[in-house]
Amino acid sequence: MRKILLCAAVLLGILAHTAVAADAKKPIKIGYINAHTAVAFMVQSNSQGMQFAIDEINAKGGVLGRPLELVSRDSKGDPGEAVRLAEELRTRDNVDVLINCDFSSASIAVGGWAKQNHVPFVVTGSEPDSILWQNGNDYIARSNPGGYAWVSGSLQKATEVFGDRLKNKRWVSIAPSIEFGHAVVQSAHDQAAARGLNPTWVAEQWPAYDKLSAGPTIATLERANPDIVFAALFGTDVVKFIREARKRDFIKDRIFIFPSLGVPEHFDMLGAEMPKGWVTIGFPYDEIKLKKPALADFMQRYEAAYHESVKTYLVTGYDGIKIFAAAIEKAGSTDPEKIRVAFDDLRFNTPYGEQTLRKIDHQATIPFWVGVSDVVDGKPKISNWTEFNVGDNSPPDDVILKLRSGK
Amino acid sequence: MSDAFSPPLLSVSGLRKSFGGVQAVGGVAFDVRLGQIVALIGANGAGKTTTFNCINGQMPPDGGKVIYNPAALTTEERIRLEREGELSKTDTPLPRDITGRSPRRIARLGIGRTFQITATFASMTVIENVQMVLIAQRKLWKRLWGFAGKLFRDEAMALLETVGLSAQAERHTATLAYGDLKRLELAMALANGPKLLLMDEPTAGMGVEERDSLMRLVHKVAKNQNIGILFTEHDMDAVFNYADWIIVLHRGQIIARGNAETIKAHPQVREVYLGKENP
Amino acid sequence: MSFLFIQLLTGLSSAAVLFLVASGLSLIFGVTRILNFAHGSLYMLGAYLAYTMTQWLGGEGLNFWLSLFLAAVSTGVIGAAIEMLILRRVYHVPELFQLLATFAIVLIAQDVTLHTWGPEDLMGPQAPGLSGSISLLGKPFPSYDLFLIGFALVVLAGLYALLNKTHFGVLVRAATEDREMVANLGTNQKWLFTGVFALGSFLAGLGGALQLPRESVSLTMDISMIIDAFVVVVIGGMGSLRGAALASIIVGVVQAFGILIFPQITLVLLFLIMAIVLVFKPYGLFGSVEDMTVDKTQLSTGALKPPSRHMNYVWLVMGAALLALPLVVNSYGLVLASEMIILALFAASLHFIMGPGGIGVFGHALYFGLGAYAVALMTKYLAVSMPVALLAAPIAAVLGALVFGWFCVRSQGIYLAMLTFAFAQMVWAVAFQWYGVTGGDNGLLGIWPSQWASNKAAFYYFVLALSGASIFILRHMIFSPYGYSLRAVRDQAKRAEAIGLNARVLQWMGLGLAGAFAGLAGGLFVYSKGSVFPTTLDINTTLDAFVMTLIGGLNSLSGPLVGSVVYTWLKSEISRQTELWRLVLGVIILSIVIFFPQGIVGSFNQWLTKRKGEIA
Ligand SMILES: Nc1ncnc2c1ncn2[C@@H]1O[C@H](COP(=O)(O)OP(=O)(O)OP(=O)(O)O)[C@@H](O)[C@H]1O
Ligand SMILES: [Mg+2]
Repeated sequence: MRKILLCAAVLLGILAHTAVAADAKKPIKIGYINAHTAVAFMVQSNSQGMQFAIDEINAKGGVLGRPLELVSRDSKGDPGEAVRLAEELRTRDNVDVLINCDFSSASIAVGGWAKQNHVPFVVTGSEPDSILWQNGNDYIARSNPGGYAWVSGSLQKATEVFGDRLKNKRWVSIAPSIEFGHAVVQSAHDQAAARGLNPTWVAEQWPAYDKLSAGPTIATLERANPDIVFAALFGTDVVKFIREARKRDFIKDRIFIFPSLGVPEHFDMLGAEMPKGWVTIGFPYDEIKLKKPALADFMQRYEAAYHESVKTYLVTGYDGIKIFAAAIEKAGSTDPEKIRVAFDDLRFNTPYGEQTLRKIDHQATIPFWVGVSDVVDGKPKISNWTEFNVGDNSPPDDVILKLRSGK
Repeated sequence: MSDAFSPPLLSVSGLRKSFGGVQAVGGVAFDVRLGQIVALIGANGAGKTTTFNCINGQMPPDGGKVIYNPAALTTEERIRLEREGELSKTDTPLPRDITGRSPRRIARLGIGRTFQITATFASMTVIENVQMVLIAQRKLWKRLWGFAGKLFRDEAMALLETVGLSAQAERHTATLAYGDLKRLELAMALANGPKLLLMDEPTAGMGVEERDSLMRLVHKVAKNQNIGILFTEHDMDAVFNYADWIIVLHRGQIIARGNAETIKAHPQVREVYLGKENP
Repeated sequence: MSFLFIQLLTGLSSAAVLFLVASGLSLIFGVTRILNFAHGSLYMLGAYLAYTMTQWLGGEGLNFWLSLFLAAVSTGVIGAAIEMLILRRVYHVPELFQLLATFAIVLIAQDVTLHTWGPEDLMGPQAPGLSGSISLLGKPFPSYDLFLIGFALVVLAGLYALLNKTHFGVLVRAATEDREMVANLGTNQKWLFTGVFALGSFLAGLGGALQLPRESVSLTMDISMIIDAFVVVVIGGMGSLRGAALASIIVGVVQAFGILIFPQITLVLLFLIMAIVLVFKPYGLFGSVEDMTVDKTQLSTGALKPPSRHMNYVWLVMGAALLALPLVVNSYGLVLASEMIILALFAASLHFIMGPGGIGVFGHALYFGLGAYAVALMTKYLAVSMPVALLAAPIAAVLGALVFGWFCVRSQGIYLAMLTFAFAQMVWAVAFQWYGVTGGDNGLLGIWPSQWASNKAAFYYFVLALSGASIFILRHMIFSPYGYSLRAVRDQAKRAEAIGLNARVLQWMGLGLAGAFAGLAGGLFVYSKGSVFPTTLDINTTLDAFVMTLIGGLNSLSGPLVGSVVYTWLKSEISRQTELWRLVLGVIILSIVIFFPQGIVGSFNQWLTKRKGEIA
């Protein structure tokens, strides 16, 4: 009996504790679900970007006269936990909207929850496009470019650099066996064919994310004797792949299209070991800022505040907050349905100038850059880069609409 | 009552068992009949427990045979075993080779045992221990409903009564004195309704009086219920007073067998065994 | 031909590092009988320390090797410190609690590492002189990999010499082979244990440090390595050095060739090897039953009493309180309560098999996940309604439990635990990598409750009714003839067999029953989330169930219920308060293991009994 009493006391105590009273005049709360303990490097800069945006907005009087407040929670990268946190943030912490930086599986799960519960939700760090397309809904918006755009820009750049050397060749792919990898490789298959490159895909490898066995994998790819390697690895797998590929002479005389290679985190890590001549997206901020005064200004402000250089997911986090600020301003309230409608063709300010959320899927049509990896003075660099825009590197509207309608 | 001409219930022949080169039992042979009390004696490490383990299936012997003779059983008992699939009809009257069978199948044939190091169910009360055996014996162990604690209480109590433990029925086995644990072991072995009972040092750790009363009880049970008993014991009084037949093991070999007088007089036994204990 | 040769060498070079780490783990287990989950953390620490040392000393020439050596030595010292400060306090507690303690160390180490070295992956220098490759049969092969193979052989020889030629080694071998001898060592035992822990940690640190030229140092190194190392140690036979060596080679080589043949199921392969080995050799290649003097009764010895009438009355009051809950709390409260109740059912099912069953299952997520995926797949592909899909959950879990359980009950103790772990990981890997059917990492989405249960209060009642009934049935079964028989096997297997019980069948049934209820919990979980993910099958889910059950206390029926409520609540509350939730949670779990080895309810009961005694 005493056990039961203990049990009851604990349960009731806990539940009473969770019943929180609401309060009328308050800041606009943004619930931030992130995989802090799973992908710490990404979340760290992402959350700094968000806080930076919030500080700036609040310094100017907030949104609709109310300050913004970020309520941050760690999902551990577990989608089930992310959904629970969404619920908790919404009903216990009374957040108005949700934002995240998480594994794509968690983003998709929270996206489904957002629709079920009518909560606007901005994704700032998940590349798979199925978040907006196959699994998309009107409550979701996204501030980072998707995998399709990455591939599109990369293939275009590759065509520009290598020309006919891409035609009628033997291709192999290597990507992690997660949504991101599958989506990007599928895009590469589709788009390479659509561009008339007439590729022959001779081998594919799907290492488990973060568990690449580089040696055997590369040896196996090499055996297929490819001309072109399409790779989409991330994090530790990148280092393993590059070191091993170099030692095994896999790099020599081959064309590498490796969209994810150029994120600043990889740059910092690889240093002088960055391979040369690989096609990749990149963020040559120091060069871009010469053409974009808004960016130069942003970088100066940010570096003054945080004494750190600007990184990819930092900007997407910053943009995510800006999207909400603009949407709430436009909606004139924090009413979820109004924010959802305000997402359509929303214009918002970013470090790259004013940008738009596309009406059909709420993708931010922001610029991104693709170039060729290089090492200059022992420092990694992206050279010969071109600016692309997500808006111009997407499937036709009817394709997106069809995917969204689930047919 | 032990009729030398009735077929033996258990025949062991040529039993061998080694542990990594050390021969624990080396070619042991003997019989046990219904109603007969046989003592297996020998110094520490002589191979007594190992012999038991080989008989009841705890360990497979390296060689030799353990034969169980259902012909010694009553017709009813045979019919029950046939029904349960432990004996096929054709081999009913024939002695059955049970060497290397699993302990659980050997138990079902009616061979029960107690352990030298007491092995009771520690998380259960005394009476529950006995009830557990009854549940196993009635094959109710797969039943998922009903309270086990309510099954066969009276029967279990009667068995505890027999061994003189009824006052301790609701206690936990962890709190029992060593002698009481030994009694519980006996009650549990009896609950299985054995035709043959193997008892490994049933009176170890008991005082003289306690020991004597337990051995009297064993004797009574053997004679009244016509059960064959094979036991090991270090106390010579218990052996000489209660055993019908004594087998002396020395380093895995039988060096003597016979009734109390024969054994007391046996020169080699006196030298290697009795000599040490009763100088 | 040359390709196969190169692939073989590549496999051997992965085996080399694996061997270093696994041999340390095996040595530690052999002597202390502690299954050191924190071994992966020591490996990670070795890598981070090596990185820092090369930054200090410079990664050139001899300094590079000196850095690696210093990193390994430091890891050894840290290991010894962990042993003296923490593990010494848990040698007397049941071994599953020890596992829990080392898991707490993993949590603590993760946060400490994150805050010492920061979140970003770090890339160390290449090994001087070994950054290139040499040509073998006309193919380039990394010279560092070749060096690793040679180095591992040297370490193997060194360990052999240590174990066979030194006094310390003789003690280690004696302790591994003869448990009683250890107990008779007296004070020497302490130093033997510390020494072995230091040596094992040194090897783990060395393994981590040697990875520096091959991969970047990252925060996820610990878990991926500990799983691989466990697999190797279990395949080889716990405590066997030869076994660790041979198993590393098998794992390394099979994986190298597996990538060639099954690029899609690289993850499954590892666990498949382990399962196959254990099915044929239930104690690993060089292990034996004698190594496994697991005192199963230790796990749980308490007497269980059926609920008295009085207690049933209290249950009713409690039930009424739960029924009234939706009137008191908001919708988050209901969501949390639903989740707690589902997890309580999950924990109760694990308690059933670990407590009364006495079987240390370390892969309970398998049944939970099978139930969850059964519901999701039925809904996605057959479009059945919620009740039908939910019916499939326990059925799928039972089938899984019976198929896998059949192999499991042939083993015992740690091997059985590891076999359940292998099967869970295998099914997880299938769910994770079989993209077309299971949706891979994304899982399957949009599986919400039927209309009538879609309201949060309605769903809560639904969960309460199903879980409540299930928990009642589970509790009742503990007191049924079957439950007693299962407990008899746990208490005294020898005797149980001697009275005619079939231990294997009883345990097999137990796994099936526990699986059924875990599966139901998994099915309900899907509806509470609207989706299913591979995480329902992964090691974290297993660990959660494990922690909930153990911190509640195995010896009491309400243990798993209290455990799941407290743990779920603690986890969500701590992570609200601090980013360092892993550190805090780790410390709390450690404290429970050290100060309340009976679990919360067990200790509470003990305290009550004591107080009553004082009053009387
Ligand atoms: N499982 C085992 N593994 C290895 N050796 C064993 C095992 N069991 C028994 N032995 C050895 O076999 C020999 C006979 O042992 P056994 O237990 O049968 O002797 P015993 O006659 O019962 O002795 P005691 O009077 O001490 O009970 C001893 O040398 C013992 O050490
Ligand atoms: Mg003996």
